[in-house]
Amino acid sequence: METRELLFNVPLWAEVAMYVGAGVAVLMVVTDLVRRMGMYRRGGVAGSRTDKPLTRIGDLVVNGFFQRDLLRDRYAGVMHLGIFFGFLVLLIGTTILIFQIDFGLDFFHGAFYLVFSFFMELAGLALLAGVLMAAYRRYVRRLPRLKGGWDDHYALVILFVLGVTGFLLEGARIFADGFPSFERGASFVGYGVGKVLGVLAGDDALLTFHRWGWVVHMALAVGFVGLVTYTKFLHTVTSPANILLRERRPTGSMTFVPDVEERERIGAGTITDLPWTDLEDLDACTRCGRCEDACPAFAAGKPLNPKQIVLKSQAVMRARLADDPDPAAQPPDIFDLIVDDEVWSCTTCRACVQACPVAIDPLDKILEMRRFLTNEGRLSGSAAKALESMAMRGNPWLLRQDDRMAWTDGLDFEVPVMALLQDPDLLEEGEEPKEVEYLFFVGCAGSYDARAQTVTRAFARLLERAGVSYAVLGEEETCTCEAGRRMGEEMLFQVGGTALKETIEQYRFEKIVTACPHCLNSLRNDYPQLGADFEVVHHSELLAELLADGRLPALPASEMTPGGAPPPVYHDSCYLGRYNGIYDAPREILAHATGRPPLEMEKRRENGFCCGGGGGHMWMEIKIGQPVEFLRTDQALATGAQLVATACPYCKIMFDTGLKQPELEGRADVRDLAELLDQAYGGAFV
Amino acid sequence: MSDTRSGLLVVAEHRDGKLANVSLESLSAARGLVEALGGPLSVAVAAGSSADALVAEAARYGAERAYVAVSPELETFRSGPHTDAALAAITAAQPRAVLFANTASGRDVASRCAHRLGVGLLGDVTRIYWEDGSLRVSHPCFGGTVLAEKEATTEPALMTVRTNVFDRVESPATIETQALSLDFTPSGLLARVIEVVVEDAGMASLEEAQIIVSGGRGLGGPENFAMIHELADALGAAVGASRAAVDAGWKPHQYQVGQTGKTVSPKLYVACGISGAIQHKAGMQSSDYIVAINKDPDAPIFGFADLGVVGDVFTVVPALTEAIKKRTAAA
Repeated sequence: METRELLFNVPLWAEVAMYVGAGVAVLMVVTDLVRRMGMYRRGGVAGSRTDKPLTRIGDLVVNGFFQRDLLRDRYAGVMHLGIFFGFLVLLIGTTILIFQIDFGLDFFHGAFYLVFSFFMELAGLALLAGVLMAAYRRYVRRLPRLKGGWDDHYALVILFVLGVTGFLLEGARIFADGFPSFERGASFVGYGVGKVLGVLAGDDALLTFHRWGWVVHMALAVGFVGLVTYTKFLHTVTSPANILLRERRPTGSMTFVPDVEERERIGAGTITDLPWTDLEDLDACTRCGRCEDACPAFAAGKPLNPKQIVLKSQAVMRARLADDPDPAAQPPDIFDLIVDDEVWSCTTCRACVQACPVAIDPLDKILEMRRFLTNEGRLSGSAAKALESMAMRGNPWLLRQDDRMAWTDGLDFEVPVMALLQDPDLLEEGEEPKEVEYLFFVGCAGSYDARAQTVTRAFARLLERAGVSYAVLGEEETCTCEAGRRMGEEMLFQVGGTALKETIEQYRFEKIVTACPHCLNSLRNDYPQLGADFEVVHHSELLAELLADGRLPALPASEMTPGGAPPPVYHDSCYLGRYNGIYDAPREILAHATGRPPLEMEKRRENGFCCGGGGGHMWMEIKIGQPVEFLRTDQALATGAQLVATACPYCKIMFDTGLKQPELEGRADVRDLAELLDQAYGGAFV
Repeated sequence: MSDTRSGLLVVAEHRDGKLANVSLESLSAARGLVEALGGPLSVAVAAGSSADALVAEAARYGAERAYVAVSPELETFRSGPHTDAALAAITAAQPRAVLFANTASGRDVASRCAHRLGVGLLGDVTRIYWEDGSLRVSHPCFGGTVLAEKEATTEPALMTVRTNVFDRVESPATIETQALSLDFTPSGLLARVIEVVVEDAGMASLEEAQIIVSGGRGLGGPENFAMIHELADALGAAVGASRAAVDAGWKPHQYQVGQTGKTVSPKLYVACGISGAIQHKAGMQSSDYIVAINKDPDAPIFGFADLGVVGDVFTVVPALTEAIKKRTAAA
């Protein structure tokens, strides 16, 4: 009969030790997890952990179980699948034997046994293969982001030893069983190992080897489980837990601070200021370093490393929120370990959030820390000036409100202004207010910066050409204060934002269209917190629609492609792409405008590399390392392009700065997609 | 209106043994007022050691009384001791109004004095005049688009005077000095100055400069800043740079004028080879007079310069320097 004797050659004391050990191990895990939950609870208030249950479970299955995000790096994904599924199958396979041993069920024979044993062999091989793949990356290729500590080494060693001893014991047992024929197929690895062992030693030696080997393997396994929460393997619990239970915040926004004008302190100055969900996810980090690799500031040599933000916060949490902190010791707090410049170097591009396979959000913590610093006045003078300007002048550049329509100079048509169309005080006698379909929100860059004004004019010309019903706010338009919010000035955002919202709400229109992804993101994702309910589209989305339904005529192919020159290379704006999922519409526009699909950079779409302009970096310079825009400019030029196509005024301005470097003189220009489309219709680039 | 108060007091700032320009400007403005107002023009000087040279300089600009506080505690600026000294001077002089400088230290001391005396403070004043029996000031708001006229309703009227606004006019007077005995508030002495770091001593402070000549990307290379320096020397100006020039490594960051650099408000700003994007404009738009030299007639800077020269910087700047040198030699 196809089976094997369970606990063969295992003395009673060892069996008892196993049960006792297992019980202790499980107890250790449970108590430590409970302690950790107590630690997380000391954090601030956060939102629900149980809303959207189907999405949560779906994420857990697809990402936590089937490792979707890990598979983005194919090698790493396969490696981890091997370790994960290998270990899981072995664990389950070993544990269900309790039912045979202790609960009187009798299934461990016949076909069940053969299948069971075969899958256990595969699992063992998968585990070892995964471990070897991991060891290769860590010790042979030595990826910098994997620089690790003792528990990274421990993790690979223990898994390897458990896997290898498992097969050795199986081999010894099969040898002792006299190599039953069914084991040849079902336990093929063990069979082979047994043959080798048989050559090396005699019966008695192997029996002794098996007995003591079993004890060692059991002790290691039990120890492994008991130490799960004290080693890197904590992530086996915390990572899926994070995927399942973290607070799901709307992408693109920040947490709302109620009663901001009454609070003396906002943001995260001390570890308990972070909401519990941000503390919980700190324990899910396995130091894989994908966030570090993705971070543009880190690549540019700035002090910021998102992995370090997470690990430093983790260290602070564990030191300060332990159950019995030593009163004599002075545990460090956030800003004892994290330097202001680390927090200010961030461009809020979300690449780190995108990269993390276990749903940790370093960006959110950075933004909370910024709120604290700004409230304390710990920000650069130039940033403070921009904030002051937003508050007092309605734009970040200390420019005049009544210059907001200066961009219309040179247009050969009158740009419709909302107030003139709908304000009863301004209408002529008997004239009816005229409703429009689109409120064209120009934004401060589009209103004032020469490089963005050309985009505004181009888009306005396209709207006229397509006969779209639209109007602008004109001199009433004020800053969304989006950059202010991302610099941590929450009150400015709430006050300035409410003022803008009220200006907009006076008017009747269906949707807002804007050429600026920052304005788009804020009006769409931040402003609902202020009570707004706007439908906002990006100009690329509207232009794509106009092209699709023919309101913008199709362009004859022959007119478009200038001989010889490569198509423009498209740069994905972070706030358009990662924040709002818009990747295709801009590419469609470019294909229409130039007759060919745009060139692509290696870091594109969700993996796009920031231009360096977000997070207030228009108004701050961290004079360490290189400017981020120089890196991205180099990446763009490496495609051989002579033209960079953008969909965001900040991106355009940052590329303009990058391309202005003396050594890059004349290499390329930068244009917004609206300008290119307008040009294709014969509009001059003015 | 107080019967016991009379005249005006200028709380002077000084560096390296000389009174700051803004203090000389304040004395000049106050001198004019005191003719109409009556009463003496006094100056308050707080120094670490001898103040004689400073008092003499103040006398040249019309001060008749000097209230001098000398103490090692006043060697470098600290809010506490300098406020104590200013208050002692105000108490001794009993003026109708007190003029401070609208500098960081001036604002610091002025606001503390206002609080301690329980009076109001008029900030960033660009005009002081006497009308209908009361002292009035003007100061610009919202970037100069609005001019506020204000009247002091308490006495003494404290105000901070904007730099580079009033003219310096010498009107020598004989000056009487009174030494102040000081009782420093202990808490104010708690802060210690450990180190004074002087930034690039060779470069005149951009923020205080009356004239600035700046170079930008249009210069093409670091060696071409030489002609900018020559023009600056001929004009007695400080040298600035746009962000493009600093990013390219042609000048260090201390020279950068713009939204992520320094904000300047000189009487004259000469921009050479600078396009004038709003990020640069944000740092120099409150200059009194802006001259732009650029070969691109569409450069944004021509949209807000007072005088625009469309031409090659390499031709215009040396020619300008020549012409100025000739003018100065002839004068």
